Parts: sequence; C-alpha cells; structure tokens
Amino acid sequence: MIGKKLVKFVVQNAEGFVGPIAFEHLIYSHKKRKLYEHKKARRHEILYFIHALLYLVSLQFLLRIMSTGRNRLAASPPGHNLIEFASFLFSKRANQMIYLPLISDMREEYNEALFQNRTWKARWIHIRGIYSFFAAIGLDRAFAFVSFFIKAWKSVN
Amino acid sequence: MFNFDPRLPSAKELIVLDMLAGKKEMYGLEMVQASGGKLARGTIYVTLMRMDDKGYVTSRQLMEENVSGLPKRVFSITGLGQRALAAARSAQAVFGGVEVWG
Repeated sequence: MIGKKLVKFVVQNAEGFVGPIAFEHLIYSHKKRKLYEHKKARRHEILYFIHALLYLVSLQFLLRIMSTGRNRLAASPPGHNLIEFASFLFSKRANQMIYLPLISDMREEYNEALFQNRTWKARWIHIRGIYSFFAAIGLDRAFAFVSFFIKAWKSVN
Repeated sequence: MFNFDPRLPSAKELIVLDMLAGKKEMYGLEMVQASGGKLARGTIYVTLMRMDDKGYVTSRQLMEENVSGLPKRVFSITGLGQRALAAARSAQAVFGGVEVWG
C-alpha cells in the first residue's frame, strides 16, 4: 500500500527527482507545511529531504570518481571510506577475511590501470569495486542470517 | 572456529578447491582471473571465509604491505579440502559427469 503510494508520488513529481529541483521542492513543501499546516506537505518534505541528501552524496561520489587521473592533487586512496565503514560495522575477522582483501584487490587493479595511463578503466574499476564491496556485504549478511536461523531452529527442535 | 560440515562442497567451492589443489597458495583476485568468469570479485572472499569455517582451506596474511597499502591474504587447501575435492570428483564420476554438490 505504502509502496504504491510512493510510486504514484514519484511518478507525479518525476521532474522534482532530477537533481537540484529536489531542493526547490524541499523548500516549497517546508514553507507549505509551515504556512498552511498541509497534511501531505510533511510527507513530501521528508521525501524531498531524503532525495536532496542522496543527490548531494551522489554528486560528491561522481566528483570523486571523475577526479581520478594525473591532474588530481592529494586524495585518499580508493576504498578508504569503505574500510572505515566496514571496520565500524563488522567484526575484526570479517574485516580481515573479506573486506580488507577485497579493497586490496581493487586497489591493485586500480593502480595497475593508472600505471598504464588508462584513467577511464581505473574509474570503472573503482565503481566495480564499490559494487563488489556491497555485494559482499549482502552475501555475508545473508549467510549470517541463514546460519542464525538454522541454529535457532536446531536449538528449538 | 573449525566447524566440520559433512556435506559435499558447493559448485563454487569446488572450483576454488580445484584451483587450490593445483597451486600452493592463491589470493582472491588471482582465483577470479583464473576462473574465467565463473567466480565474482564480490563473492569470492565470502565463499573463502565459509570454506575456512568448514576447514576446507586455510589462510594467512602476508606480512609485507603491497602497492595497495593493505596486506594480502593468501589461501591454501587443507587435507580435509583435498578429501572433499576427491569425494566430489568420485561422486561426479559415479553420476556420469553430472555436477554433484552439497
């Protein structure tokens, strides 16, 4: 029910989901809520806030990816934030067995591509590495959930 | 951490065991490149961790940092892994080349 409403809202306000227009919509729905205490404006405000936030994150991410290459000044190596993220969320063993080697492999391929002056390939490797990282998280959590479920089932029976 | 699981290895685990049986030690990216698209970058280390839990492979961290600035983890097959591989191969032979996995 909520999903249908959300899809309808997105379709009706499709133009608002294109980049900076989300900010205008956010300000508009905020004003609308403040002035008229409009019921739907609150929900719209939350949705546009999320979208504006996603837009900012993706913009920052795109700028980061696009700035790969010779002209780049000092920057953290690819996967730096992912390591921070994984070390904060997951166990030391999971980090040592899955996430650190994954980032290490990505950096190896990335550096090799940069060494051959293949900047676009390096960018692609960076994006693919991020995708692999989140795929690994998904698979790892899925296995953890299934094994927890099996253990719980065995202990009950 | 060792947790013996009597099932036969899965299809992906068999590919990994097959590769490790031929070489002394390998790391994830090496396996992905050698598999020719059968293994994915995102899933290889999760599979290897599960195999480590089952006792099929063992791993060690190389002490020296490489060009990535992070230490590498290399994996090698254990005795149990070799037995599981042999059992899976004989099961395949019995079932006339049909892929058999746990």
